Order: sequence, then C-alpha cells, then structure tokens
Amino acid sequence: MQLSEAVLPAAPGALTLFRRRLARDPLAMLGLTLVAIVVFCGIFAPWIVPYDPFKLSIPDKLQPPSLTHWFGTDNLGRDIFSRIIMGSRIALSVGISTIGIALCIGISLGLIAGYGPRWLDNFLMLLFDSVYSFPTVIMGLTVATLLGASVTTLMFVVILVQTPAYARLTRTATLSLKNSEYVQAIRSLGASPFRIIAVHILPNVVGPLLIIASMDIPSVVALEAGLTYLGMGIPPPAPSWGRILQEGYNLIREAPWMVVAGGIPLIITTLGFTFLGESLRDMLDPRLRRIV
Amino acid sequence: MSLLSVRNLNVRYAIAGPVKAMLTGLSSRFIDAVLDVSFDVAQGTTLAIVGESGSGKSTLARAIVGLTPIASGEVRFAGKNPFADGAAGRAYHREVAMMFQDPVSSLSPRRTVQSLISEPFIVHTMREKDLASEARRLLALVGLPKDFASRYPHQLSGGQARRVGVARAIALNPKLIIADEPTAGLDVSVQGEILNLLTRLQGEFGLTYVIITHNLAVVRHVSDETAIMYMGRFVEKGRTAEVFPDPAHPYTQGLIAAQPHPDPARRRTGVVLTGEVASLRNRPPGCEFHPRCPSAQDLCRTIAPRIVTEFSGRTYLCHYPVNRPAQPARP
Repeated sequence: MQLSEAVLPAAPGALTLFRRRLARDPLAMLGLTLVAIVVFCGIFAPWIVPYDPFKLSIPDKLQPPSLTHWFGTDNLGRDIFSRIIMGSRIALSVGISTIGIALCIGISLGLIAGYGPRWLDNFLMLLFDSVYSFPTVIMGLTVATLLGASVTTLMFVVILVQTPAYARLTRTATLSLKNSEYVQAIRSLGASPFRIIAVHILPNVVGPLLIIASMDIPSVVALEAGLTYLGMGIPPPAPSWGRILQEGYNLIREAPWMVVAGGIPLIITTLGFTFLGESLRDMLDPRLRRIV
Repeated sequence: MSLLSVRNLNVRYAIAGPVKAMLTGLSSRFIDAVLDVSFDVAQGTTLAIVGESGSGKSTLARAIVGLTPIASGEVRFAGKNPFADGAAGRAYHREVAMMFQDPVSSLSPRRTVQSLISEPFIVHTMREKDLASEARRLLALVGLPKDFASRYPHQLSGGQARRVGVARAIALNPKLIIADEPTAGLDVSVQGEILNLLTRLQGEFGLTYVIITHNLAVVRHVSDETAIMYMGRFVEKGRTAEVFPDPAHPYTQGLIAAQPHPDPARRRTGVVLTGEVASLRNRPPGCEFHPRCPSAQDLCRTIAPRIVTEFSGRTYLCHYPVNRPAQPARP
C-alpha cells in the first residue's frame, strides 16, 4: 500500500505547472521575455533613457539611425529611442492595463448574460450592441470632448469600446456550455450558480479571449494615435508610440526610420502577449497540454 | 413504502413567447413533454422507463431531479415533496443522483478524474473529508485503477468515463440514482460490464434505480418494473417479468417484436411498428397512438382511453389491449 502511495505523484500545483511549462516551451519563454522587457522599460524609463526625451535640439533634427542615436531623431531633434522607452509607460497604462480591465469586465458581464436569466441577457445585449454600434473614433471624440483630452479619458474610451466585444464572445461561449451535459450534471449535484460559472464555465471560455485580447493591443495603440492626431488623445509633448507613428507618417519620405522605430515596440509587445496568451490557453486546456 | 412516488406529473416547454404565439395564431404556446405520469419505485428496486427518442423520458428524469420545472403534479421522495418550497434543497441533491447520457461529455473537460469524483463533496461542503482517499475508494468501487485519478476526461474510453460517472453518482451514498441511457454509446461487452457494476452496487448499498433507455435487452437484464412511454404518457407499466411475455398495449407488443433476434428463422415475425411518432405540437385526437396502431378502431380515433389497472398491478392505456377483453369507453 505504501509503495503505491509513493509511486503516485502529488498533483502539481498551478505554479509548478506554469514553471515546468515555461521551461519546456521556448515560445512561452520568449513571450515572457518580451513582455518583461516592455514592463521593465515602463517602470524604469526615466533612469534608462540615454537622452532627455523632451529636449529639443533643432540642429540635430531628422538624423538617420547611428551609434549615437540608435533610432535616429525626429523633426524637433529629439532622440527617438529615448522617446520610445518613455512611451512604454503610456503604452502600459493605455494599451495593456485598459485591455486587462476591459477583459475582466467583459468576461464577467458575458458570463452573467450567458448564464443568467433571459431578461438580463436581453438587457445586457442591448447595452453592448448600442455601445458597439458607435464608430470607435466618433465615440472617442465625443467622450474626449465631454471629459477633456487626457490619459484617463483615453483609458475610459478604450475600456468602453473593448468591453462589449469581449462580453459578446464570452456570452456566446457561455450559452453553448450552459446546456451542455457536464454543466447539467454539476447542476444536478446541487452546485451553486457561482461555482458552476467560476469553476466549470470560466476556464472553458477564457482561452481564446486571452489571445484575442493580446492581438487587440496594437489596435488600441493605433486608436490612441488616431485620437492624438485629432487632438483628442494624449496632449503633447508626451512621447506615446502612437504619436511617434503619427509624426513618422507625416515625414515618411524624409525620415522613414521614424515609422519603423515606432512600429518595433508595438511588434514586441503584441508578439510577447500573444505568445504568453497562447501558452496560458494551452496550460488551461488539458487537451492541449503536452506534459501531465 | 415507496422511495419515490410521482403523481400526475406534467412537464411542458414553451415553444414561443406570448406575443409570438398571439401573432402567429398558435393554439397553444406550450408542448407537453410529459403528460399525467404516475408511478412508484420501492426502495432497492429498479424501474426501467422505455420509449423512442422524443417520448419524454429524459425530460421526466430531469424533472424528477429538479433540472426542469414541473408544470403540475407531484414528486414525493421518502414521503416528502422536495420541491415544496420552490427549488430542491441540498439534502435532496445528496440523496438523488443523476447519470447523464453521454459518458465523456457529461464530465467537466478541464478537471481530473479525482477532482470530478470529489466534486460532490466540495459542492456539499464536506471539505473535511480526505478527498484523495475518497477518490481512491470510489475508483476501487467502480473497478478503475488508482492512477486514473490524475487523468482527464479526453484520456478515457467510453466505458472508463461511464465508470467515472457511476463513481460520481455514488459518491455521497445516495438512495436513488436516475440513469439516463447508462449504456448508450458503449460496446456490447462494456454495456454488460456497466450493467453488472450497477447491479453489484445496488446489492452492496441497497440503491434504487430509475433507468431510462430504449434498449429492451437492458430493461430485461436489470429492471424489476418496466414502464413504456409514448408521447409523454406511460402507456403501459408492470413487472418486467410479466410485461415481456404478455404485453397488453399494442405499442409494447410492437417494440418487443421489433427487437433484433439472433435466430434468422425467427426474424421479424408479428407486429412491426410503422409510421412516425406524431408531432407533440399537434397531438392526434382520441388515443394518441392510433395512427400507428395495428388494432385501432373508430373508438380509438375519437375517445382517449383511460388508465386500466389489472389485478397484478399492471396498468395500461388502451381500448383494445392485446389478448385481453376490450375496455368499453366510460363516459
């Protein structure tokens, strides 16, 4: 008896699984590294920038990339590399934390709409569809006009625009699971709706959403750029990635490196979160998990 | 005293909202999935409910467990109505377990076998139990090796998944188990193993079963009593040992005759059912079985039969039962 007990391994905890999984999956490792770089830049930006990102130096304007200015300089002579590092702060707050908040709200409301009573579902759907039917930029402009252009307003707009999308996806997935045999079986055991939703439905709907949300990060930064261009985003001279892209776009013939430089951090962030999201989904799904 | 008794149970589903029903001129916006069903199951016995797809047998099971609301009628379990104050309480869910049709998809896909079979303890806040040792005990009871505890549902075969389902059903020592098609989707040899397992557990724990199936071989093998369901009604009910050799209702006779037989010389003799089950939205007048009945007469097309109870306890719903005197229609 004791022998067989010893042979049976203890069920590994989530954290152990996560660590083991990371060690085995180079893609997840890469994702984690890329995300860590962005977060590191965001936290320590003022101490690691090689130049003052706000300092104008007209004689140095529009210099191509070199050893002194890795990503070149912009039309006002500011070091683009420094501005990008500084911009990761805005990207983290506007792009990433807002997507995170929108994801949490959207998933919660979607679960409620999908599992809850019919009238609540109808009501929430009406709400989501009304918000969703507004063109994003128009909605952003309206809110920015009402509340004034600031980082907070921008975050509010992004949350408002993204939440219905996640809620809708969650609701559809929840509806199909609500009547599945395994949910019925757990209901027949007498489990509370809260337990059914949190333990048995949520893990089955969250996987694809993580990936969709990762891929929404660049579109949020693009939205920020668009609103900034229209004067309703983050007021200058804040160095957001969107603004760098926008300025680079205006000068694409004279200084093509500006657009390229503005795109690189976006690519790093998106790939990092997508890889991380994918491996997180695989970890949540035993059918895709390679190690047991 | 009977453990479970059901009286005049009706279950209906709304097929349209009130506004839509008004606009489209539906005569009724409900369909009756279960109509006027009454039966008793004694402690330690097995009742088999047989019927074609759509006859309402699964709905009946779900209504008894409390997954589907009851329109009218009464369920009594151990003398008490579990739905007296709305939803069934925890005590009822602890004593009545249900097994669902599909062995694999009735298991939560992202949980291990151990977590699946200890779910009842967690739901019923018995966290002080040693869940790992309870899981090992239950696995041993249903004849699965210990190391299955760490497997996931997609790693199980149909028969293994069914055993896990049985383990989950017996986890809390229930009195009554309602099994919806316990042998569906399994190989014949595995079907036999599962039925033997159910019979063994019944002997060990004094379990009472309500087994829902369309497989007459299963019925014969395990049940004490048999009820035949057609369009939501019990058309015949009696002791299994008496119903099979001597069916009273032409539908029962047809079902028994339609069974495949291993002897080629004896294949397909006697009555064979023809036609399709009528629509539940548009029930035939009179006896609802008359469009398919080989012995239907004018009376059957106009007047619905009443329940006839024989001395042996057999009940049936027919004007012209097989090998029995005709039942005159009482006004």
